[in-house]
Amino acid sequence: MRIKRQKKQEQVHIKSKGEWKYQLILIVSLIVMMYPIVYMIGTSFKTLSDIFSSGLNVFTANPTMDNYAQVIGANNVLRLLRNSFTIALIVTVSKIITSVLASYCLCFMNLKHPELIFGLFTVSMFIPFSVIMIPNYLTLSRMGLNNTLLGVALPQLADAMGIYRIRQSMRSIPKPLIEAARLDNVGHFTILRRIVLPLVKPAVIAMIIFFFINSWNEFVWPMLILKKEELYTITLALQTFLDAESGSAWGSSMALATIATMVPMVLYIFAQRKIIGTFMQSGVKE
Amino acid sequence: MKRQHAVQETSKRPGGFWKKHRKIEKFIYLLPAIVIFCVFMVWPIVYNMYLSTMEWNMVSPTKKFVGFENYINVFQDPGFLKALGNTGLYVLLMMIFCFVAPYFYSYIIGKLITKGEKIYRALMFFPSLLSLAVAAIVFMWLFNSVSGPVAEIFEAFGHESPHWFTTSGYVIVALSIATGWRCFGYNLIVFLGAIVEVPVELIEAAKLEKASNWKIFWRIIVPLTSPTALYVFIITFVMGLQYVFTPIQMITKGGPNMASTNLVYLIYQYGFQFFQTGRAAAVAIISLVIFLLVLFLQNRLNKRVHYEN
Repeated sequence: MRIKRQKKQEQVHIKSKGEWKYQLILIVSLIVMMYPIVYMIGTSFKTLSDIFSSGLNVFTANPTMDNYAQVIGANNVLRLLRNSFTIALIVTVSKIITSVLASYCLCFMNLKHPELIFGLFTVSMFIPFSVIMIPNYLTLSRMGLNNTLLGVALPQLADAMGIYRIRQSMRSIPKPLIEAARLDNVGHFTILRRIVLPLVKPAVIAMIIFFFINSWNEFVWPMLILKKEELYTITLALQTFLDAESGSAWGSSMALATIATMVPMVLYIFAQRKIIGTFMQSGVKE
Repeated sequence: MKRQHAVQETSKRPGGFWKKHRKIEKFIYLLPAIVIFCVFMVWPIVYNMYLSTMEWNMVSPTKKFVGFENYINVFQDPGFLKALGNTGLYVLLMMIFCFVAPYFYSYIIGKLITKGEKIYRALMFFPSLLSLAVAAIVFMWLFNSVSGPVAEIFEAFGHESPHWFTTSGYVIVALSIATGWRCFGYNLIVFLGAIVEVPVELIEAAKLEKASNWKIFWRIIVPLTSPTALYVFIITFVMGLQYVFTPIQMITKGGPNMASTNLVYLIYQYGFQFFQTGRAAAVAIISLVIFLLVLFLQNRLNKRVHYEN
Protein backbone atom coordinates (compact mmCIF):
# COMPACT_ATOMS: atom_id res chain seq x y z
CA MET A 1 0.00 0.00 0.00
CA ARG A 2 2.62 2.51 1.09
CA ILE A 3 4.82 1.76 -1.86
CA LYS A 4 1.91 2.24 -4.16
CA ARG A 5 1.03 5.59 -2.63
CA GLN A 6 4.61 6.73 -2.75
CA LYS A 7 4.80 5.77 -6.36
CA LYS A 8 1.66 7.65 -7.12
CA GLN A 9 2.99 10.77 -5.45
CA GLU A 10 6.20 10.51 -7.38
CA GLN A 11 4.25 10.09 -10.55
CA VAL A 12 2.12 13.11 -9.79
CA HIS A 13 5.24 15.07 -9.06
CA ILE A 14 6.84 14.12 -12.33
CA LYS A 15 3.69 14.69 -14.26
CA SER A 16 2.79 18.02 -12.76
CA LYS A 17 5.99 19.75 -13.75
CA GLY A 18 4.86 22.58 -15.97
CA GLU A 19 1.30 21.37 -15.82
CA TRP A 20 -0.16 24.89 -15.70
CA LYS A 21 1.15 25.45 -19.21
CA TYR A 22 -0.78 22.47 -20.53
CA GLN A 23 -3.85 23.35 -18.49
CA LEU A 24 -3.81 26.78 -20.09
CA ILE A 25 -3.65 25.30 -23.59
CA LEU A 26 -6.50 22.94 -22.79
CA ILE A 27 -8.75 25.54 -21.18
CA VAL A 28 -8.34 27.96 -24.07
CA SER A 29 -8.98 25.16 -26.57
CA LEU A 30 -12.01 24.03 -24.61
CA ILE A 31 -13.53 27.52 -24.65
CA VAL A 32 -13.00 27.79 -28.41
CA MET A 33 -14.49 24.33 -28.96
CA MET A 34 -17.51 24.89 -26.77
CA TYR A 35 -18.27 28.32 -28.19
CA PRO A 36 -20.18 27.10 -31.29
CA ILE A 37 -22.53 25.01 -29.14
CA VAL A 38 -23.15 27.76 -26.60
CA TYR A 39 -23.57 30.18 -29.50
CA MET A 40 -26.16 27.91 -31.12
CA ILE A 41 -28.21 27.60 -27.95
CA GLY A 42 -27.81 31.27 -26.98
CA THR A 43 -28.76 32.57 -30.43
CA SER A 44 -31.88 30.42 -30.50
CA PHE A 45 -33.26 32.59 -27.67
CA LYS A 46 -32.45 35.93 -29.27
CA THR A 47 -34.51 38.28 -31.37
CA LEU A 48 -33.11 39.19 -34.76
CA SER A 49 -32.05 42.70 -33.77
CA ASP A 50 -30.44 41.21 -30.70
CA ILE A 51 -28.41 38.83 -32.87
CA PHE A 52 -27.12 41.61 -35.07
CA SER A 53 -26.14 43.83 -32.19
CA SER A 54 -24.70 41.38 -29.69
CA GLY A 55 -21.30 40.68 -31.22
CA LEU A 56 -19.52 37.82 -29.49
CA ASN A 57 -21.83 37.79 -26.51
CA VAL A 58 -23.90 34.62 -26.57
CA PHE A 59 -26.23 35.66 -23.76
CA THR A 60 -29.11 38.04 -24.02
CA ALA A 61 -30.84 40.31 -21.56
CA ASN A 62 -34.31 39.60 -22.94
CA PRO A 63 -34.58 35.99 -24.09
CA THR A 64 -37.44 35.16 -26.40
CA MET A 65 -39.18 31.92 -27.31
CA ASP A 66 -40.32 33.33 -30.66
CA ASN A 67 -37.80 31.30 -32.66
CA TYR A 68 -39.03 28.09 -31.13
CA ALA A 69 -42.66 29.05 -31.61
CA GLN A 70 -41.95 29.82 -35.26
CA VAL A 71 -40.06 26.59 -35.84
CA ILE A 72 -42.65 24.45 -34.10
CA GLY A 73 -45.44 26.10 -36.08
CA ALA A 74 -43.94 26.42 -39.54
CA ASN A 75 -41.74 23.34 -39.67
CA ASN A 76 -44.01 20.93 -37.88
CA VAL A 77 -41.27 19.81 -35.53
CA LEU A 78 -43.28 16.93 -34.15
CA ARG A 79 -43.47 15.36 -37.60
CA LEU A 80 -39.74 15.89 -38.15
CA LEU A 81 -38.96 14.27 -34.83
CA ARG A 82 -41.30 11.38 -35.58
CA ASN A 83 -39.67 10.72 -38.96
CA SER A 84 -36.17 10.84 -37.51
CA PHE A 85 -37.21 8.62 -34.65
CA THR A 86 -38.91 6.06 -36.91
CA ILE A 87 -35.83 5.65 -39.08
CA ALA A 88 -33.45 5.55 -36.13
CA LEU A 89 -35.60 2.95 -34.40
CA ILE A 90 -35.85 0.60 -37.39
CA VAL A 91 -32.14 0.94 -38.12
CA THR A 92 -31.04 0.44 -34.52
CA VAL A 93 -33.23 -2.57 -33.74
CA SER A 94 -32.36 -4.29 -36.98
CA LYS A 95 -28.63 -3.61 -36.74
CA ILE A 96 -28.59 -5.07 -33.23
CA ILE A 97 -30.47 -8.21 -34.25
CA THR A 98 -28.34 -8.90 -37.32
CA SER A 99 -25.13 -8.14 -35.43
CA VAL A 100 -25.98 -10.37 -32.47
CA LEU A 101 -27.01 -13.29 -34.68
CA ALA A 102 -23.94 -13.02 -36.90
CA SER A 103 -21.58 -12.60 -33.95
CA TYR A 104 -23.06 -15.60 -32.20
CA CYS A 105 -22.64 -17.69 -35.33
CA LEU A 106 -19.04 -16.52 -35.78
CA CYS A 107 -18.15 -17.32 -32.18
CA PHE A 108 -20.03 -20.46 -31.22
CA MET A 109 -21.33 -22.35 -34.25
CA ASN A 110 -18.16 -24.06 -35.47
CA LEU A 111 -18.00 -22.38 -38.82
CA LYS A 112 -15.28 -23.59 -41.12
CA HIS A 113 -13.63 -20.21 -41.68
CA PRO A 114 -14.96 -17.79 -39.07
CA GLU A 115 -11.93 -15.49 -39.36
CA LEU A 116 -12.34 -15.20 -43.10
CA ILE A 117 -16.03 -14.36 -42.89
CA PHE A 118 -15.38 -11.91 -40.10
CA GLY A 119 -12.60 -10.33 -42.15
CA LEU A 120 -14.96 -9.82 -45.06
CA PHE A 121 -17.48 -8.16 -42.76
CA THR A 122 -14.88 -5.76 -41.38
CA VAL A 123 -13.59 -4.83 -44.83
CA SER A 124 -17.03 -3.44 -45.55
CA MET A 125 -16.47 -0.84 -42.82
CA PHE A 126 -14.03 0.87 -45.14
CA ILE A 127 -16.10 0.93 -48.31
CA PRO A 128 -16.55 4.60 -49.14
CA PHE A 129 -20.18 5.65 -49.25
CA SER A 130 -19.61 7.52 -52.48
CA VAL A 131 -19.04 4.25 -54.36
CA ILE A 132 -22.31 2.66 -53.28
CA MET A 133 -24.45 5.80 -53.31
CA ILE A 134 -25.73 5.72 -56.89
CA PRO A 135 -26.27 1.93 -57.21
CA ASN A 136 -28.15 1.86 -53.90
CA TYR A 137 -30.29 4.75 -55.01
CA LEU A 138 -31.14 2.84 -58.20
CA THR A 139 -31.87 -0.38 -56.30
CA LEU A 140 -34.25 1.40 -53.96
CA SER A 141 -35.97 3.22 -56.80
CA ARG A 142 -36.54 -0.09 -58.51
CA MET A 143 -38.00 -1.48 -55.30
CA GLY A 144 -40.35 1.50 -55.23
CA LEU A 145 -38.91 2.65 -51.92
CA ASN A 146 -37.86 6.07 -53.11
CA ASN A 147 -39.45 8.70 -50.88
CA THR A 148 -40.18 6.30 -48.03
CA LEU A 149 -38.74 6.13 -44.55
CA LEU A 150 -38.16 2.41 -45.06
CA GLY A 151 -36.02 3.21 -48.09
CA VAL A 152 -33.71 5.25 -45.88
CA ALA A 153 -33.44 2.43 -43.37
CA LEU A 154 -33.15 -0.57 -45.69
CA PRO A 155 -29.48 -0.40 -46.76
CA GLN A 156 -28.50 0.09 -43.14
CA LEU A 157 -30.11 -2.93 -41.55
CA ALA A 158 -26.73 -4.54 -40.82
CA ASP A 159 -23.51 -2.95 -39.61
CA ALA A 160 -19.97 -4.25 -39.57
CA MET A 161 -19.09 -2.12 -36.54
CA GLY A 162 -21.84 -3.90 -34.59
CA ILE A 163 -20.55 -7.33 -35.57
CA TYR A 164 -17.02 -6.22 -34.71
CA ARG A 165 -17.87 -4.98 -31.22
CA ILE A 166 -20.42 -7.60 -30.20
CA ARG A 167 -18.22 -10.43 -31.42
CA GLN A 168 -15.34 -8.96 -29.43
CA SER A 169 -17.50 -9.07 -26.34
CA MET A 170 -18.77 -12.61 -27.05
CA ARG A 171 -15.25 -13.91 -27.43
CA SER A 172 -14.62 -13.31 -23.74
CA ILE A 173 -17.32 -15.87 -22.87
CA PRO A 174 -15.62 -19.19 -22.10
CA LYS A 175 -16.41 -21.67 -24.84
CA PRO A 176 -16.80 -24.65 -22.49
CA LEU A 177 -19.83 -22.92 -21.01
CA ILE A 178 -21.55 -22.97 -24.39
CA GLU A 179 -20.33 -26.47 -25.21
CA ALA A 180 -21.68 -27.80 -21.93
CA ALA A 181 -25.06 -26.36 -22.74
CA ARG A 182 -24.87 -27.88 -26.21
CA LEU A 183 -24.11 -31.31 -24.72
CA ASP A 184 -27.24 -30.91 -22.64
CA ASN A 185 -29.15 -30.56 -25.87
CA VAL A 186 -29.94 -26.89 -25.46
CA GLY A 187 -30.75 -25.21 -28.75
CA HIS A 188 -28.59 -22.40 -30.05
CA PHE A 189 -31.33 -19.84 -29.84
CA THR A 190 -31.97 -20.66 -26.20
CA ILE A 191 -28.27 -20.43 -25.43
CA LEU A 192 -28.12 -17.10 -27.17
CA ARG A 193 -31.08 -15.74 -25.26
CA ARG A 194 -30.42 -17.19 -21.82
CA ILE A 195 -26.64 -17.31 -21.57
CA VAL A 196 -24.93 -15.17 -24.15
CA LEU A 197 -27.17 -12.11 -24.31
CA PRO A 198 -27.07 -11.36 -20.57
CA LEU A 199 -23.28 -11.58 -20.69
CA VAL A 200 -22.82 -9.24 -23.66
CA LYS A 201 -25.50 -6.81 -22.52
CA PRO A 202 -23.08 -3.91 -21.90
CA ALA A 203 -21.73 -4.13 -25.46
CA VAL A 204 -25.24 -4.38 -26.87
CA ILE A 205 -26.44 -1.33 -24.96
CA ALA A 206 -23.37 0.58 -26.07
CA MET A 207 -24.07 -0.29 -29.70
CA ILE A 208 -27.74 0.67 -29.35
CA ILE A 209 -26.70 4.18 -28.30
CA PHE A 210 -24.03 4.33 -31.02
CA PHE A 211 -26.39 3.26 -33.82
CA PHE A 212 -29.22 5.45 -32.65
CA ILE A 213 -27.15 8.63 -32.52
CA ASN A 214 -25.52 7.90 -35.88
CA SER A 215 -28.84 7.30 -37.56
CA TRP A 216 -30.39 10.34 -35.93
CA ASN A 217 -27.60 12.55 -37.27
CA GLU A 218 -27.54 11.19 -40.78
CA PHE A 219 -27.88 13.67 -43.61
CA VAL A 220 -26.60 12.55 -47.02
CA TRP A 221 -28.51 9.32 -47.58
CA PRO A 222 -31.88 10.66 -46.35
CA MET A 223 -31.31 13.70 -48.56
CA LEU A 224 -31.04 11.46 -51.62
CA ILE A 225 -34.07 9.33 -50.78
CA LEU A 226 -36.51 11.77 -49.18
CA LYS A 227 -37.69 14.57 -51.45
CA LYS A 228 -41.14 15.17 -50.02
CA GLU A 229 -41.23 17.68 -47.23
CA GLU A 230 -43.63 15.65 -45.11
CA LEU A 231 -41.00 12.90 -44.96
CA TYR A 232 -38.12 15.15 -43.91
CA THR A 233 -36.09 14.18 -40.91
CA ILE A 234 -34.99 16.87 -38.50
CA THR A 235 -31.50 17.11 -40.01
CA LEU A 236 -32.97 17.43 -43.50
CA ALA A 237 -35.26 20.22 -42.36
CA LEU A 238 -32.18 22.27 -41.47
CA GLN A 239 -31.46 22.78 -45.15
CA THR A 240 -34.75 24.61 -45.68
CA PHE A 241 -33.22 27.60 -43.89
CA LEU A 242 -30.28 27.89 -46.18
CA ASP A 243 -31.99 29.58 -49.09
CA ALA A 244 -32.78 32.52 -46.90
CA GLU A 245 -29.53 34.36 -47.48
CA SER A 246 -30.74 37.52 -45.82
CA GLY A 247 -30.15 36.18 -42.35
CA SER A 248 -33.78 36.48 -41.34
CA ALA A 249 -33.80 32.79 -40.45
CA TRP A 250 -30.78 33.14 -38.19
CA GLY A 251 -32.57 32.66 -34.88
CA SER A 252 -35.07 30.05 -36.01
CA SER A 253 -32.42 27.90 -37.72
CA MET A 254 -30.47 27.86 -34.46
CA ALA A 255 -33.65 26.87 -32.64
CA LEU A 256 -34.18 23.91 -34.96
CA ALA A 257 -30.50 22.95 -34.71
CA THR A 258 -30.81 23.05 -30.93
CA ILE A 259 -33.87 20.79 -31.06
CA ALA A 260 -32.00 18.39 -33.37
CA THR A 261 -29.19 18.30 -30.84
CA MET A 262 -31.44 17.61 -27.86
CA VAL A 263 -31.63 13.86 -28.41
CA PRO A 264 -27.88 13.15 -28.55
CA MET A 265 -27.36 15.68 -25.76
CA VAL A 266 -29.85 14.05 -23.40
CA LEU A 267 -28.48 10.59 -24.18
CA TYR A 268 -25.00 11.92 -23.49
CA ILE A 269 -25.96 13.45 -20.15
CA PHE A 270 -27.42 10.16 -18.95
CA ALA A 271 -24.93 7.74 -20.44
CA GLN A 272 -21.80 9.81 -20.84
CA ARG A 273 -19.37 7.22 -19.57
CA LYS A 274 -20.96 4.48 -21.63
CA ILE A 275 -20.89 6.53 -24.83
CA ILE A 276 -17.28 7.60 -24.35
CA GLY A 277 -16.34 4.00 -23.59
CA THR A 278 -18.04 2.81 -26.76
CA PHE A 279 -16.35 5.31 -28.99
CA MET A 280 -13.04 4.85 -27.21
CA GLN A 281 -13.00 1.16 -27.95
CA SER A 282 -14.27 1.47 -31.48
CA GLY A 283 -10.75 2.15 -32.71
CA VAL A 284 -8.79 -0.21 -30.54
CA LYS A 285 -7.39 -3.15 -32.40
CA GLU A 286 -7.47 -6.57 -30.87
CA MET B 1 -25.70 -20.17 -10.15
CA LYS B 2 -28.33 -18.38 -12.10
CA ARG B 3 -26.72 -19.38 -15.35
CA GLN B 4 -26.57 -23.03 -14.42
CA HIS B 5 -30.21 -22.92 -13.51
CA ALA B 6 -31.09 -21.54 -16.88
CA VAL B 7 -29.25 -24.29 -18.63
CA GLN B 8 -30.88 -27.01 -16.59
CA GLU B 9 -34.29 -25.60 -17.07
CA THR B 10 -34.05 -25.65 -20.82
CA SER B 11 -32.03 -28.83 -21.16
CA LYS B 12 -35.18 -30.90 -21.10
CA ARG B 13 -36.11 -29.71 -24.54
CA PRO B 14 -34.64 -31.85 -27.27
CA GLY B 15 -32.64 -30.28 -30.06
CA GLY B 16 -35.03 -31.87 -32.52
CA PHE B 17 -35.33 -30.20 -35.86
CA TRP B 18 -32.23 -28.02 -35.64
CA LYS B 19 -30.07 -30.93 -34.63
CA LYS B 20 -30.73 -32.54 -37.96
CA HIS B 21 -30.23 -29.35 -39.86
CA ARG B 22 -27.11 -27.85 -38.29
CA LYS B 23 -25.88 -26.35 -41.51
CA ILE B 24 -29.13 -24.61 -42.26
CA GLU B 25 -29.20 -23.20 -38.76
CA LYS B 26 -25.72 -21.68 -39.06
CA PHE B 27 -26.73 -20.24 -42.35
CA ILE B 28 -29.85 -18.65 -40.92
CA TYR B 29 -27.87 -16.84 -38.23
CA LEU B 30 -25.49 -15.36 -40.77
CA LEU B 31 -28.03 -14.81 -43.50
CA PRO B 32 -29.59 -11.46 -42.52
CA ALA B 33 -26.22 -9.72 -42.25
CA ILE B 34 -24.86 -11.38 -45.38
CA VAL B 35 -27.89 -10.49 -47.48
CA ILE B 36 -27.75 -6.83 -46.48
CA PHE B 37 -24.00 -6.67 -47.12
CA CYS B 38 -24.25 -8.37 -50.48
CA VAL B 39 -27.18 -6.35 -51.75
CA PHE B 40 -26.13 -2.94 -50.41
CA MET B 41 -22.33 -3.17 -50.15
CA VAL B 42 -20.82 -5.70 -52.52
CA TRP B 43 -23.27 -5.61 -55.40
CA PRO B 44 -23.20 -1.79 -55.61
CA ILE B 45 -19.43 -1.84 -56.15
CA VAL B 46 -19.77 -4.32 -58.98
CA TYR B 47 -22.72 -2.46 -60.43
CA ASN B 48 -20.84 0.81 -60.13
CA MET B 49 -17.98 -0.63 -62.19
CA TYR B 50 -20.47 -1.75 -64.79
CA LEU B 51 -22.16 1.65 -64.88
CA SER B 52 -18.83 3.41 -65.31
CA THR B 53 -18.50 1.83 -68.75
CA MET B 54 -21.98 2.92 -69.85
CA GLU B 55 -23.51 6.06 -71.18
CA TRP B 56 -26.79 6.52 -69.39
CA ASN B 57 -28.99 9.26 -68.00
CA MET B 58 -30.50 7.28 -65.13
CA VAL B 59 -34.03 7.27 -66.59
CA SER B 60 -33.80 6.00 -70.15
CA PRO B 61 -34.51 2.27 -70.50
CA THR B 62 -31.36 1.62 -72.53
CA LYS B 63 -27.72 2.04 -71.67
CA LYS B 64 -24.98 2.35 -74.25
CA PHE B 65 -21.62 0.64 -73.76
CA VAL B 66 -18.80 3.14 -74.19
CA GLY B 67 -15.80 1.35 -72.68
CA PHE B 68 -13.38 3.74 -71.00
CA GLU B 69 -14.85 6.82 -72.57
CA ASN B 70 -16.34 8.05 -69.29
CA TYR B 71 -12.94 7.87 -67.63
CA ILE B 72 -11.30 9.71 -70.51
CA ASN B 73 -14.00 12.37 -70.47
CA VAL B 74 -13.71 12.77 -66.75
CA PHE B 75 -9.96 13.30 -66.88
CA GLN B 76 -10.42 15.93 -69.58
CA ASP B 77 -13.04 17.75 -67.56
CA PRO B 78 -11.41 20.75 -65.84
CA GLY B 79 -14.11 20.45 -63.17
CA PHE B 80 -12.81 17.02 -62.24
CA LEU B 81 -9.23 18.22 -61.92
CA LYS B 82 -10.45 21.11 -59.80
CA ALA B 83 -12.40 18.71 -57.58
CA LEU B 84 -9.39 16.41 -57.32
CA GLY B 85 -7.16 19.26 -56.19
CA ASN B 86 -9.78 20.48 -53.73
CA THR B 87 -10.14 16.97 -52.34
CA GLY B 88 -6.42 16.92 -51.65
CA LEU B 89 -6.74 20.23 -49.80
CA TYR B 90 -9.70 19.03 -47.74
CA VAL B 91 -7.88 15.85 -46.81
CA LEU B 92 -4.75 17.79 -45.85
CA LEU B 93 -6.68 20.21 -43.65
CA MET B 94 -8.67 17.39 -42.06
CA MET B 95 -5.40 15.59 -41.32
CA ILE B 96 -4.23 18.66 -39.41
CA PHE B 97 -7.51 19.18 -37.51
CA CYS B 98 -8.47 15.56 -36.94
CA PHE B 99 -5.28 13.51 -36.98
CA VAL B 100 -2.32 15.64 -35.86
CA ALA B 101 -4.20 17.86 -33.41
CA PRO B 102 -6.07 15.11 -31.55
CA TYR B 103 -2.86 13.06 -31.38
CA PHE B 104 -1.12 15.86 -29.46
CA TYR B 105 -4.17 16.71 -27.39
CA SER B 106 -4.71 13.10 -26.36
CA TYR B 107 -1.06 12.97 -25.25
CA ILE B 108 -1.52 16.11 -23.17
CA ILE B 109 -4.82 14.94 -21.66
CA GLY B 110 -3.74 11.35 -21.16
CA LYS B 111 -0.21 11.77 -19.88
CA LEU B 112 0.81 15.35 -19.13
CA ILE B 113 -1.86 16.64 -16.79
CA THR B 114 -3.04 15.38 -13.43
CA LYS B 115 -6.33 17.19 -13.05
CA GLY B 116 -9.45 17.47 -15.16
CA GLU B 117 -8.77 14.68 -17.67
CA LYS B 118 -12.35 13.47 -17.49
CA ILE B 119 -13.88 16.90 -17.94
CA TYR B 120 -11.73 17.72 -20.96
CA ARG B 121 -12.48 14.34 -22.44
CA ALA B 122 -16.22 14.59 -21.92
CA LEU B 123 -16.59 18.15 -23.22
CA MET B 124 -14.18 17.94 -26.14
CA PHE B 125 -15.93 14.83 -27.35
CA PHE B 126 -19.36 16.38 -27.30
CA PRO B 127 -19.31 18.07 -30.76
CA SER B 128 -18.84 14.63 -32.30
CA LEU B 129 -22.35 13.72 -31.20
CA LEU B 130 -23.87 16.46 -33.30
CA SER B 131 -25.06 16.01 -36.84
CA LEU B 132 -22.77 17.34 -39.55
CA ALA B 133 -25.83 19.23 -40.73
CA VAL B 134 -26.01 21.00 -37.37
CA ALA B 135 -22.29 21.76 -37.50
CA ALA B 136 -22.71 23.17 -41.00
CA ILE B 137 -25.54 25.51 -40.13
CA VAL B 138 -23.88 26.74 -36.91
CA PHE B 139 -20.63 27.51 -38.73
CA MET B 140 -22.50 29.16 -41.54
CA TRP B 141 -23.64 31.80 -39.05
CA LEU B 142 -20.35 31.84 -37.12
CA PHE B 143 -18.52 32.70 -40.33
CA ASN B 144 -21.20 35.09 -41.57
CA SER B 145 -19.16 37.91 -43.01
CA VAL B 146 -21.49 40.71 -41.95
CA SER B 147 -22.10 40.19 -38.27
CA GLY B 148 -21.04 36.68 -37.33
CA PRO B 149 -18.75 36.27 -34.33
CA VAL B 150 -15.71 35.61 -36.53
CA ALA B 151 -16.36 38.84 -38.42
CA GLU B 152 -16.62 40.67 -35.08
CA ILE B 153 -13.20 39.37 -34.10
CA PHE B 154 -11.71 40.57 -37.37
CA GLU B 155 -13.36 43.93 -36.84
CA ALA B 156 -11.94 44.18 -33.33
CA PHE B 157 -8.49 43.91 -34.86
CA GLY B 158 -9.36 46.50 -37.45
CA HIS B 159 -9.64 44.15 -40.42
CA GLU B 160 -12.53 43.40 -42.64
CA SER B 161 -13.65 39.78 -42.44
CA PRO B 162 -13.11 37.78 -45.61
CA HIS B 163 -16.24 36.48 -47.27
CA TRP B 164 -15.60 32.94 -46.16
CA PHE B 165 -18.09 31.05 -48.25
CA THR B 166 -17.85 33.07 -51.44
CA THR B 167 -14.09 33.46 -51.75
CA SER B 168 -12.06 30.77 -53.44
CA GLY B 169 -9.50 29.35 -51.04
CA TYR B 170 -11.14 30.63 -47.85
CA VAL B 171 -14.17 28.50 -48.55
CA ILE B 172 -12.28 25.22 -48.22
CA VAL B 173 -10.69 26.38 -44.98
CA ALA B 174 -14.05 27.40 -43.51
CA LEU B 175 -15.79 24.17 -44.52
CA SER B 176 -12.88 22.10 -43.20
CA ILE B 177 -13.00 23.94 -39.88
CA ALA B 178 -16.71 23.13 -39.56
CA THR B 179 -16.14 19.45 -40.39
CA GLY B 180 -12.96 19.27 -38.32
CA TRP B 181 -14.68 20.77 -35.29
CA ARG B 182 -17.36 18.12 -35.51
CA CYS B 183 -14.90 15.21 -35.92
CA PHE B 184 -12.02 16.22 -33.63
CA GLY B 185 -13.55 14.78 -30.47
CA TYR B 186 -14.17 11.33 -31.86
CA ASN B 187 -10.57 10.91 -32.95
CA LEU B 188 -9.37 12.39 -29.67
CA ILE B 189 -11.26 9.70 -27.78
CA VAL B 190 -9.93 6.92 -30.00
CA PHE B 191 -6.37 8.17 -29.49
CA LEU B 192 -6.92 8.47 -25.76
CA GLY B 193 -8.06 4.86 -25.67
CA ALA B 194 -4.65 3.84 -26.97
CA ILE B 195 -2.55 6.37 -25.07
CA VAL B 196 -3.86 5.46 -21.61
CA GLU B 197 -2.62 1.94 -22.33
CA VAL B 198 0.97 3.15 -22.66
CA PRO B 199 2.68 2.10 -19.40
CA VAL B 200 3.39 5.03 -17.08
CA GLU B 201 6.66 3.39 -16.01
CA LEU B 202 8.11 3.88 -19.46
CA ILE B 203 7.38 7.56 -19.39
CA GLU B 204 8.67 7.95 -15.84
CA ALA B 205 11.89 6.23 -16.75
CA ALA B 206 12.30 8.54 -19.70
CA LYS B 207 11.61 11.57 -17.51
CA LEU B 208 14.25 10.48 -15.01
CA GLU B 209 16.68 10.57 -17.89
CA LYS B 210 15.53 14.12 -18.55
CA ALA B 211 13.84 13.39 -21.84
CA SER B 212 11.59 16.21 -22.98
CA ASN B 213 7.85 15.68 -23.40
CA TRP B 214 8.32 16.23 -27.10
CA LYS B 215 10.90 13.45 -27.28
CA ILE B 216 8.75 11.11 -25.20
CA PHE B 217 5.91 11.67 -27.61
CA TRP B 218 8.00 10.69 -30.62
CA ARG B 219 10.06 7.91 -29.05
CA ILE B 220 7.48 6.21 -26.81
CA ILE B 221 3.92 7.29 -27.53
CA VAL B 222 4.02 7.18 -31.34
CA PRO B 223 5.64 3.74 -31.69
CA LEU B 224 3.33 2.21 -29.10
CA THR B 225 0.13 3.64 -30.54
CA SER B 226 0.82 3.19 -34.23
CA PRO B 227 -2.00 0.66 -34.91
CA THR B 228 -4.53 3.13 -33.54
CA ALA B 229 -2.86 5.94 -35.47
CA LEU B 230 -3.31 3.89 -38.62
CA TYR B 231 -7.00 3.48 -37.89
CA VAL B 232 -7.46 7.19 -37.18
CA PHE B 233 -5.48 8.07 -40.29
CA ILE B 234 -7.82 6.00 -42.43
CA ILE B 235 -11.01 7.37 -40.92
CA THR B 236 -9.65 10.91 -41.18
CA PHE B 237 -8.99 10.28 -44.84
CA VAL B 238 -12.59 9.12 -45.22
CA MET B 239 -13.75 12.25 -43.37
CA GLY B 240 -11.75 14.47 -45.71
CA LEU B 241 -13.27 12.65 -48.65
CA GLN B 242 -16.85 12.24 -47.49
CA TYR B 243 -17.81 14.10 -44.34
CA VAL B 244 -17.15 17.46 -45.98
CA PHE B 245 -20.00 16.64 -48.37
CA THR B 246 -22.66 17.74 -45.87
CA PRO B 247 -21.27 21.26 -45.30
CA ILE B 248 -20.59 21.63 -49.03
CA GLN B 249 -24.14 20.66 -49.89
CA MET B 250 -25.68 22.80 -47.17
CA ILE B 251 -23.62 25.96 -47.44
CA THR B 252 -21.95 26.36 -50.84
CA LYS B 253 -23.27 23.66 -53.20
CA GLY B 254 -19.74 23.42 -54.54
CA GLY B 255 -19.40 27.12 -55.27
CA PRO B 256 -18.24 29.75 -55.81
CA ASN B 257 -17.35 28.59 -59.31
CA MET B 258 -16.49 25.04 -58.12
CA ALA B 259 -14.01 26.41 -55.60
CA SER B 260 -15.36 24.17 -52.83
CA THR B 261 -16.44 21.10 -54.76
CA ASN B 262 -14.74 17.77 -54.07
CA LEU B 263 -14.82 14.31 -55.64
CA VAL B 264 -17.84 13.09 -53.69
CA TYR B 265 -19.78 16.24 -54.43
CA LEU B 266 -18.85 15.88 -58.08
CA ILE B 267 -20.24 12.33 -58.07
CA TYR B 268 -23.45 13.68 -56.61
CA GLN B 269 -23.66 16.43 -59.22
CA TYR B 270 -22.88 14.18 -62.18
CA GLY B 271 -25.34 11.59 -60.92
CA PHE B 272 -28.25 13.55 -59.54
CA GLN B 273 -28.06 16.95 -61.20
CA PHE B 274 -26.54 16.44 -64.66
CA PHE B 275 -27.86 12.86 -64.99
CA GLN B 276 -24.58 11.56 -66.38
CA THR B 277 -24.66 8.35 -64.44
CA GLY B 278 -21.71 6.80 -66.28
CA ARG B 279 -19.45 9.70 -65.46
CA ALA B 280 -20.60 9.73 -61.86
CA ALA B 281 -19.79 6.03 -61.59
CA ALA B 282 -16.38 6.60 -63.16
CA VAL B 283 -15.52 9.30 -60.62
CA ALA B 284 -16.73 6.98 -57.85
CA ILE B 285 -14.40 4.24 -59.04
CA ILE B 286 -11.52 6.70 -59.28
CA SER B 287 -12.15 7.85 -55.71
CA LEU B 288 -12.20 4.21 -54.60
CA VAL B 289 -8.88 3.55 -56.30
CA ILE B 290 -7.32 6.60 -54.64
CA PHE B 291 -8.64 5.45 -51.29
CA LEU B 292 -7.27 1.93 -51.73
CA LEU B 293 -3.93 3.34 -52.85
CA VAL B 294 -3.67 5.46 -49.71
CA LEU B 295 -4.67 2.46 -47.61
CA PHE B 296 -1.97 0.38 -49.23
CA LEU B 297 0.76 3.01 -48.94
CA GLN B 298 -0.09 3.77 -45.33
CA ASN B 299 -0.04 0.07 -44.54
CA ARG B 300 3.40 -0.32 -46.08
CA LEU B 301 4.70 2.70 -44.24
CA ASN B 302 3.26 1.48 -40.98
CA LYS B 303 4.95 -1.90 -41.36
CA ARG B 304 8.27 -0.24 -41.96
CA VAL B 305 7.85 1.88 -38.83
CA HIS B 306 7.19 -1.32 -36.93
CA TYR B 307 10.28 -3.07 -38.18
CA GLU B 308 12.51 -0.11 -37.45
CA ASN B 309 11.52 -0.14 -33.83
